[in-house]
Amino acid sequence: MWKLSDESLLAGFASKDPEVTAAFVRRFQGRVFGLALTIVKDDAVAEEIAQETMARAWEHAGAYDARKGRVDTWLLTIARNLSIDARRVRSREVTDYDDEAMLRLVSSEPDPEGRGVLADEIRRLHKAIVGLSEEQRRALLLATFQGLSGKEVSEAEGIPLGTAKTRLHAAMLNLRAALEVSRDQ
Amino acid sequence: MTSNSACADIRLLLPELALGTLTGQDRGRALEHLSGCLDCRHQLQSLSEVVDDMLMLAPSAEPPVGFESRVIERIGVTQRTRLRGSRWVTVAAVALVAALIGGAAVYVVGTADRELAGSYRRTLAVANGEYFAARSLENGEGSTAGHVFGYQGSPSWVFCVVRAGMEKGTYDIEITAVGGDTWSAGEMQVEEGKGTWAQPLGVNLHDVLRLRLIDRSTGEILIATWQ
Repeated sequence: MWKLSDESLLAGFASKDPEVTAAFVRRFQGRVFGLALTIVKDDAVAEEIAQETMARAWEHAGAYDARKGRVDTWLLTIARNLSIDARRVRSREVTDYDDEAMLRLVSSEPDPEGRGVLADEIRRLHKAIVGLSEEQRRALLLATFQGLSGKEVSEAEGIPLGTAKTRLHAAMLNLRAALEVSRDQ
Repeated sequence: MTSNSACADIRLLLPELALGTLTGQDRGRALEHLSGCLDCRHQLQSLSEVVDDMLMLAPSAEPPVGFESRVIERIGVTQRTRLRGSRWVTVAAVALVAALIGGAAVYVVGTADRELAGSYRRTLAVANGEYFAARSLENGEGSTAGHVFGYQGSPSWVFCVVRAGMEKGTYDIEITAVGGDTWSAGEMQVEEGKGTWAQPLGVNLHDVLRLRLIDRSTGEILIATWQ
């Protein structure tokens, strides 16, 4: 069961095969829950989001198109969107973002344990993000893990809107370039 | 046809589009430009991949004990659980209206609530309707792409609206009843990111389990879960 590809597991998940469903949940639960916890910082809310992510995946599994992206990326995107919605419901203030949690994402060594073939990829990603300027890194982390728009980043950072948008754009281009270089090495 | 200055302007919006935080006129402007600019579409694709990569940064964490079985139970009994919840909501709504009619809740709710409830009751009374309800229409990534409004009366009907940002094309509309019966209810045309559709239901609104919009060209599905 554990040798099945992510796509095969998803197909079994969609068909409600009990064993495959359990295997699917076990394979992805840690990353889905971990991402939700990173964003909402509350065990109970994170579990609710992780459960809803699995339920949404089950509802939409039949329409999953492998050409559009990996299964884990798709699941994490669902979890991120749900987590950011939950954050916005619980905290209306734009400035109520968690600086410390974001810094923890890049201040310590990555934790690729149990993520198999993704371990090297995660290390490369971590190195590339640490290589960004601090202001670009902050803009990117705020937008990705706190769901802040360009306008909200400008308010949170006390910078003009145009600067926030430019900073975010540059951060993403620089990160992409750094990842491309590291993958070629 | 696009110009370099137009591309430069739009490209500053692409990070937010990739992150799902671009809304309103900026989103519509960006999507309109993208429909005719291959270079900007390529950049959006690259930035979306960066967002995907970023999600790997979050550390894995073990969920609370019993998570797996709770997910399986949730998937297995989704319809039953949601139906039970819906019935309670219906019962509560009926009780609230009855209480308002009888005046029993006059001193419990505030003036604004009383006025709203009175307006709601008078609106329903025009055609002997039972209730109105609304649900979000969500895509496969959990984002809200529009809304479905329903009316329980004679006839019962649904009205569907999708907001700016939808792909242009034809969307088949499929309705599934609580018992599992599924039928094609029509189609919606989406132009310039927007579309609406309405139709009498033919069944009671509380017998509808979900409504799905299926993009005829890509197969992408939007779902509004009713129960």
